[in-house]
Amino acid sequence: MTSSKLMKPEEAVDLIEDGMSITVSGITFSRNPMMLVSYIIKSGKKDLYFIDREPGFALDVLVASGAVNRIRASMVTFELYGLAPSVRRFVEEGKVEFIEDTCGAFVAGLRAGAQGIPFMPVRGVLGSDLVKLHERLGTWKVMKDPFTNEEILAVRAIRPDVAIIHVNYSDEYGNAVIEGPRYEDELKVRAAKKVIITAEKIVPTDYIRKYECPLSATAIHVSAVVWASKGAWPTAMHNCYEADYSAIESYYNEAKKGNAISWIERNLLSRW
Amino acid sequence: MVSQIKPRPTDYMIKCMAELINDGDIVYHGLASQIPVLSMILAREALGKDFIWLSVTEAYMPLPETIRSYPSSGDPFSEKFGVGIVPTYDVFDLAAQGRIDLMFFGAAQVDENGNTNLSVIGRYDKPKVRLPGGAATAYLFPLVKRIVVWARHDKRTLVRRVDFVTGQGWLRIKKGLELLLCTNKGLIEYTDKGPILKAVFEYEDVKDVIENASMKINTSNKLYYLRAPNEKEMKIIQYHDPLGLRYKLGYG
Repeated sequence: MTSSKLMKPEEAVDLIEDGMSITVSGITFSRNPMMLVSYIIKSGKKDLYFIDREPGFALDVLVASGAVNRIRASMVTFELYGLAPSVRRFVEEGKVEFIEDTCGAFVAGLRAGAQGIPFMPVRGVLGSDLVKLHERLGTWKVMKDPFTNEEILAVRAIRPDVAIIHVNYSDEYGNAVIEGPRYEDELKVRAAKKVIITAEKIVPTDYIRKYECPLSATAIHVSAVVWASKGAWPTAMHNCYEADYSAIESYYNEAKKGNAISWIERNLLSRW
Repeated sequence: MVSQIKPRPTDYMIKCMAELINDGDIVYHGLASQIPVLSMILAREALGKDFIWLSVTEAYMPLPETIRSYPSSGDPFSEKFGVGIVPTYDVFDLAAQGRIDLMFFGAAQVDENGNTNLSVIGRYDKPKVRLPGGAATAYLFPLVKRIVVWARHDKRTLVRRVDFVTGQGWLRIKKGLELLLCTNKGLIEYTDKGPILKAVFEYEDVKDVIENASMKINTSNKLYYLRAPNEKEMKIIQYHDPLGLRYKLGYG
């Protein structure tokens, strides 16, 4: 085994530089790596390019804090509550660029990134106005299937600079286990150039060995491991705790009134 | 003891969409889909439909009696005791092979060609409203066998042309793939002759339903009336959504 990668959150955040592309684990209100997001905000990082399929809470607080200037996502939503308040405001005010993706194509891009190939063909998508947008940006291209001549979409590989993945448990080397829904987080681990694991529990390697747990990430992929008990709060963590919807709703209401920063200071930055 | 609740338009929508699920279907629901989730429950629990339940929660075939409406329809605690986890990208792969039968999609705008918009109101690069984004809409619209869009029935939503084509309904119509629109007034089917009003909620006036849209809607000569969920069905809906979250979505 390699050497221990266990570090403090402020040390792990140093792996992220201004202007880098980042992706995070989970979806809207589930398994967001909120402790590390909080440290990103504290560190004053800026001009981050946030890449994810269906983000919600983590993205909105990063945008509200001025850490993000570009988003690539298929959907950003606060679901029952409405549109993601800060994302909506910053995009409409022209402060943040929004590149809308679509789920299957996004996953194809991550798969290409994980496999180390330049692009991945994908069905569907053609006929949507999203195609024109991405062709202009150079992220997608309509091509001919070399075998059948059928038109098909090619999605350029997605390789985020840093993936921040919250897991149920990990050893100190980054052999990590996600319980319950994994979404495309395992592809993010494999496509990203650096991976920060935040874990509810740090366990001995022998624990993982004993139970032959399927690994979502291994020491081969991971650059940093951070202990983050209740580190997804206020989003849900399968097998650990439910989402704190009263906190999410209070953030939503405050952010809509333009008070996101004070909510973040009171509830996130002071927590960790 | 669940007290009796009078059905509202949202409950009619839930029943309308439940009736569109067939035995043997493979059905998937996504985020912000509290109404389709309740339709899937009603189809299983009240209408006895035997179908495969897949969802953004990634719980495969969760036990229906344990399912509850949450502020996030992707909440891992909302659908419990599945047979196991099926990652969403497996569902996308099934769809690419043409093996997903039915999906439900929301829309901020729907037009005469069946196109949906969940991207922007106004210009893409200078939006008046930045909408959430279509999620899997653009990917799945050409791939899923039957699609049901749900949307508000008003002039701002049912438009002649969407501001941005997120979901390429025109391509579904060209390919002859089924595309239905369930609103909080009735059910519309897209054909190569445009949108056809198939059914209206039993208390609605057909003329009002047609006039409350900016898109041109023709009326089916076999138009029928959609009945309210009965008492048993309302109890099931209420049991799974005891807090009435479904009514917070603005469909009445």
